[in-house]
Amino acid sequence: MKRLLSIFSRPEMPVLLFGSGLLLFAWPHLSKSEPNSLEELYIFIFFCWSILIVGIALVSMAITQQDRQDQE
Amino acid sequence: MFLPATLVLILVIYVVLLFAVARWGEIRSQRGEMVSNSWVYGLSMAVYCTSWTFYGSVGAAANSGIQFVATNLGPSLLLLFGWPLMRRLVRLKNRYHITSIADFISTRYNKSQWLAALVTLIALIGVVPYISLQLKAVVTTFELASGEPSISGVNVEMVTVVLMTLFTILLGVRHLDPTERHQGMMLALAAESLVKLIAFVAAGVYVTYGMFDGFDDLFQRFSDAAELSPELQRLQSPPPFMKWTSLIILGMAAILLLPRQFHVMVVENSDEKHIRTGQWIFPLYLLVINLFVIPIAMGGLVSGLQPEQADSFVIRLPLMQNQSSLTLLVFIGGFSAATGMIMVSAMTLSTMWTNHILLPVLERLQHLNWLRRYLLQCRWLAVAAIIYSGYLFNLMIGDSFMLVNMGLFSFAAVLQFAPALLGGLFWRGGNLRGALFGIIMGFIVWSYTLLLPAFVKSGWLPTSLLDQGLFGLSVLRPEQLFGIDVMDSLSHAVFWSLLFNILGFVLGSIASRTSETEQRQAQEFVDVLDVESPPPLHLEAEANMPLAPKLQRIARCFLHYLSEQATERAIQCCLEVTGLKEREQVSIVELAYLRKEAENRLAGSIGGAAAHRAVEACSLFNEREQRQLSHACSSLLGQMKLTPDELWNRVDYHQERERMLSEHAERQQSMIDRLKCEVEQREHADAALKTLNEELENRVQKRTTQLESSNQNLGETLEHLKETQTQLVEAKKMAALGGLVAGVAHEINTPLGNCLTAASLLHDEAALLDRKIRSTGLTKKDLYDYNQLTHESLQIILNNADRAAQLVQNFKQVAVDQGSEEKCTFSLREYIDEVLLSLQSELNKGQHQVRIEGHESLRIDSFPGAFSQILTNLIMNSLLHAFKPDQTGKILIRFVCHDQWLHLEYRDNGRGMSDEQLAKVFDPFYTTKRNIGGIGLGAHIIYNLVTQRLQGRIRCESCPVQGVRFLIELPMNIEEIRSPLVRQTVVNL
Repeated sequence: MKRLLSIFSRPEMPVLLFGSGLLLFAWPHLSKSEPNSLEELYIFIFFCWSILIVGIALVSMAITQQDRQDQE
Repeated sequence: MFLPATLVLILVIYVVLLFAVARWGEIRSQRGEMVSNSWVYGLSMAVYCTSWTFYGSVGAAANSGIQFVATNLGPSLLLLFGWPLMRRLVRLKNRYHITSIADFISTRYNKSQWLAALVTLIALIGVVPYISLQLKAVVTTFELASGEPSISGVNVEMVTVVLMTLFTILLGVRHLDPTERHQGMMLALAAESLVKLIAFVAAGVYVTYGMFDGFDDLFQRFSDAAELSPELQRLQSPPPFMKWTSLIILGMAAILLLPRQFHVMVVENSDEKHIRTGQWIFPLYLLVINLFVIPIAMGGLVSGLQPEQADSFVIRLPLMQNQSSLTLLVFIGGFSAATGMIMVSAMTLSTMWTNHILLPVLERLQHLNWLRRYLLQCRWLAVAAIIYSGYLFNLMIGDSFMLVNMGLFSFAAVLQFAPALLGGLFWRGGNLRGALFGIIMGFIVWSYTLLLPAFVKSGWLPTSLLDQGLFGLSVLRPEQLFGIDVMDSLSHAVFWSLLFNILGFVLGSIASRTSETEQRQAQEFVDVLDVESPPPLHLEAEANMPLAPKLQRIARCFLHYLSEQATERAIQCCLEVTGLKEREQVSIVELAYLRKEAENRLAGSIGGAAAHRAVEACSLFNEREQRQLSHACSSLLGQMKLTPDELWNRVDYHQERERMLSEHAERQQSMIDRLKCEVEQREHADAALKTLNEELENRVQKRTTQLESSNQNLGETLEHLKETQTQLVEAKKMAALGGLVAGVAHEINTPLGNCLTAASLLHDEAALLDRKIRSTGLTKKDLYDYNQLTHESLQIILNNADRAAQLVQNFKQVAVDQGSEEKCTFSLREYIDEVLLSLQSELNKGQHQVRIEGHESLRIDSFPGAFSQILTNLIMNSLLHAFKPDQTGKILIRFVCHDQWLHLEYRDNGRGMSDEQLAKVFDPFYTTKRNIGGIGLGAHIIYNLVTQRLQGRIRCESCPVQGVRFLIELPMNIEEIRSPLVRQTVVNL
């Protein structure tokens, strides 16, 4: 977890996640095969969204931890 | 169905409860207890989810599929950058006591009242119809839940307007707060957010699992229905890419730039740390509330409801199933969504309107100056006016195209603030003219490409405007501006308005001059995270001015806007912050600090721009004091020996230096972190290496022990082998000796036996003769016979004795007992000739030919006798064994000297030897001619003479019928040449 947080505390991480998020959410338009039904779209979008939130939470926790270390 | 009065009563109770929550929060806040925390902050951000989300998202899903999600994905993506962006905004808000987004943008651009007024106007135009949408949602759902549009003839919408106005004033605008923070209201907002979340999720769970058998069943039924309906089939495919992207961008803009969002996220923020939690709580909230949108939309469509009714599926479905409690919960949830939005929007818009439009107007109209003292009441009126405007808007426009799409129009309107706000935060070059130019350009394009088509589609303007464009110019068609028709109308408007806005902002900023004050302001905004607020300068100046008159002037200024109590509190705060409490005299510099603090304090109530003008107008410094201040500043420059320009440059330089130092410190910290990481890795590696070394040492120790043991065993084995070898050598010697003795005994036994037989016969005959003599019967014949026998016997004895003697001589030669012979130097060729001469008679018997090849002058220092015996034995062996009786043999003797060694070759052309014979040729007593007197010692003697006496080497080569070839190598000087090979040969023998 410590290692994970140190990765997510890097300043380029939000940019990377942002780019990945944009790419993921643009995927239904880029892909010619799947997702190709409402059900698949629903699963795909909400799954990617969940991953994005986990990413944001990790970035947030990483910044908090870094601040705590800075204070120490 | 519920009775209308019951519903109103429930709503009133709900509002009272919310007010109680807010009041409880306020009381705790006044006691100094913390009310706002990360969760309250994160949940209050959910004011983003209005009734447009609560009801409208289902409608959008039923008509456009998954597209509705985009406006919620945008905020989630933007919040990835929430920390650095929000931290800037919050820090600037605290530094400048900013009260709204208009105030923020205005403060950045030289506290321009024009800019603030422009932002306020656009916000009003964009948001008021949005409020109308909320009111419409409340009324529609009220009608659905109660079945009636009014309560005893009273319009429900009007009741809602009154309730909302009262609620907003009570919670948000009850008094003028210089900090513009309302912790009670934030608590109420968080509670509302929870209520709408619970209500929506409850409806979703009921539809998914109560009306249907879960997600699979819903999707299956929808899929079956879609096969029969092209309208539903359309929902299966992804939304158009441009529309999808535009909605995401609009969502990003809305979360930051909508006045209500800016208020709850920036103005109401009490602690920067709350941003970190809020930035994932809010996206999580959005995810959960959107999770059941699609199921509810599918449930409604599959249940036979029409897509046109989809906006109310959330409440219609429980109503259809007679789920009263759930219907009521959903109704309250929708009311919460609308209330939160209306309350915060009305509050922020009223603040913006009074601070940035009303106050500047009042300042210009002298006869209305008195109104400034009733600022709070003006805000109340503004709240009522804004909410009522929404009501009127709904009344006039109704179900028109425009109202339905007003949510997105509103988002697109506030998007026009983005370049000025973000550019102002990150680009020092952005200035007031650029911001004004950009926002105006963006707003005009927004109106032309989005608002104008909405008016046309609502039937208020001729459709020719859309078809033919303004003035009949096709390039000016509002929805295909400049001929571009590859985008939908919303994406088209977003693209062009943003493009014109950005171009206007950048070009306007570059083209116009930026004042020094604005440059400083821009620098403070851009560097807000890099440079802390500079500490006050302590200039040496005499405290010779009475403070009381100055405070009276400040109080008079404050009293134009605040109550007496609020003014008193504000002045006390100013004195406390500047450290002038209980002081009677102050210096001119201290007075300057007091003035700045007063302006900041007032800005919290009336906005930065208005406060700046108000404090300017109160003439805190008279001419003399202004001169003193100038003198103090000049003295400072004088002490520093700087011109004003140089001072600014130095300030810039030091700020730049501080920024660079900060960056350097960050880099160092990052390097330290990296080094720490490396040190940890090295420590791990060292530990691993140490463990490995220990294991290796243990293994080496173990192996060493094993090797020592093995070595000991080997030593013992070697000793044993040596003993065995010694025993074997001894045994071999003994065996060889035994063989030699047996050979000698065998060879000597025959002549000795013959001698013994002859002697015994002679002895017997002598005894017989003696008896005959005694008996006198001896005859002459007897004596003759005896004499004859005696001669024969003696001959036999002599021959055999001679044979035995020869054998003994040969045995002596085998033992190389020739120590008596002297070593001398002789000519080899001559000596060979002499040996051949002695054997000439034997050679002549078979006419054999001997050829000698070798240098005649070659002389050798050795034992000539040994040479003679070697040659004699070789020649005699050839004569006896090699050549057939009728054969004329040929013998070749060749010698040459090379490197102090004599190489002597002896060859004959006799019958040769088989391999078996060749292997035993040098063995003692080995002969193939024993039947004719051979004893098998010739070659053995040769071998011994060569290897022992002459210290050389001998080798024999032969094949049957091809003769033999002996190769002998001998030292030229037997004393000097002692090669290891020779020594080894000697030792082995």
